Amino acid sequence: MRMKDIGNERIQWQDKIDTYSDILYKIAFLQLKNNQDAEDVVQETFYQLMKRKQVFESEEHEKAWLIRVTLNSCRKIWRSAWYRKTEGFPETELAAGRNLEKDTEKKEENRQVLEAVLNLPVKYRDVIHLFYYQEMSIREIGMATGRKESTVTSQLTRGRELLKKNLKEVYQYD
Amino acid sequence: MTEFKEVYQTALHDTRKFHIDAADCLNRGRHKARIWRQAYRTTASLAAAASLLLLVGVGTVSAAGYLQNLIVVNESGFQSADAGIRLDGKQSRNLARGIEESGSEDTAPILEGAPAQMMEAAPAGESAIEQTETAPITDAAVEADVSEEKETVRGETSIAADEALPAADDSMKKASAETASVQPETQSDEAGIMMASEVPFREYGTMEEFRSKESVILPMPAVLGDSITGISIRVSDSWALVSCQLDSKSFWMERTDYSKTEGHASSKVFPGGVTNERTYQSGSYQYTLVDSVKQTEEEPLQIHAAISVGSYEVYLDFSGFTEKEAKAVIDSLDIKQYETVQAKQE
Repeated sequence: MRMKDIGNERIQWQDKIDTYSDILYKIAFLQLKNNQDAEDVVQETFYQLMKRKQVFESEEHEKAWLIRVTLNSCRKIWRSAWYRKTEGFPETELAAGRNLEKDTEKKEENRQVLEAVLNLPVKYRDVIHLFYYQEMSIREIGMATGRKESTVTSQLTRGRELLKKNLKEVYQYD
Repeated sequence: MTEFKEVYQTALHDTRKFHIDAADCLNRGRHKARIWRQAYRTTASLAAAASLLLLVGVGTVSAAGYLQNLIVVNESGFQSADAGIRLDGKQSRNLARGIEESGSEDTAPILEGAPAQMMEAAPAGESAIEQTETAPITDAAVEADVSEEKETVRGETSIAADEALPAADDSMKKASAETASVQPETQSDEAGIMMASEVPFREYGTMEEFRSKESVILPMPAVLGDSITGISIRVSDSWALVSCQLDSKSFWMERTDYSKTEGHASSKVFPGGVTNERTYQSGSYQYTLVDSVKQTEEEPLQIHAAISVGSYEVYLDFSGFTEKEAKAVIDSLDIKQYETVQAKQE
């Protein structure tokens, strides 16, 4: 019976991890530009979640908590005195196997977009990512990042402006 | 016009998918390994920050024979040498050439005045250390229990121990011990006093443990006290390094005793360079302070202080501290202890 409980608990955790791990990893990677550090951050975030056995009011709250812990962990890393950032988007992060020639152009476009986001200042990068990839609202982003909604709005605007400038106004941002 | 959202989502969908098992996350050993790596990297970051630490020692003399150390600031960081070397300007090119030949990157401007004999073989038993900016420089930040970090980061170890990164506490200690046992000695009968090698050192996770096993003089700033959430102390011969974590701040203190050398030259270089050189008078001691040049606006203020006391050279590095806080730490450091040691030796 006890073994069964442990098994059930592990399955529950695995479900949670499956739901959020890639989301958190992408956030961490975009912050750190380093997959090893990003993986460590994500695993540690889940470890903290499991250890604390934190209860959340809602899934939204849980997601916000996880994102916030991830961002805080990343912040600690790039705040460290001598953290060096990797320039450009590592080839290894782009999925392998899509080797059709017609994909080459698309792949290059993807790289340009990703690099444009990676080259944004950190405070705009997370807001842009959460808004456009996670499709989170301003309120949700504020909850996850601990920033005021007005701050998120202005950072989103500024981030878009920088993207428009760097990507030569090829895209629509609304 | 294409939607940015669509392209960005597609682009990220095409990146590597990350998957982990709950068992990995729950595994306390793996957690400790991550904390261990964090502690290692925190300490390593100091070595990397001082991307070139070059110590040159020749011969063994008493402290009384050692000439006053001088520290100056250049655009890259600090450089220092004892007065004997500095005064001998004729030989400076020899040292500079020797360092270039060592192949180190990011070499700081070299001190003026190095005796030619310093480029010859160091006698056995003397050491020279060169560290270039090659270590992974991260401070793997997690909201971790510092108590757990203390459990894992202790004992005889070496910088290269990170390579092993074992998954459990016992295996970690074993791997560290094994790695430490194969570290090359930093002494050589061969020509060339600069050796790029890992330096064997002893490491402690608490001040109590350090005090109980080491007799080296290492006064700690009293003001830090309970605010320290994590600490690592590394000792190697005449060199000691303390790394302290204080929530979002970091503090490092490094001190080297040159009393057993006839001369030395060293540089401490900070990526991006330094600026805002100033002095700070703390009691009867005058520190030289600089700030790191920020690479991005988000970076916290990084203040570096240097002072030479007797045969000791002391560097303090502050990350995330305000100027006022850094000065309070400096004021609370009983640096006079270094002079007392010298007086006793004399």
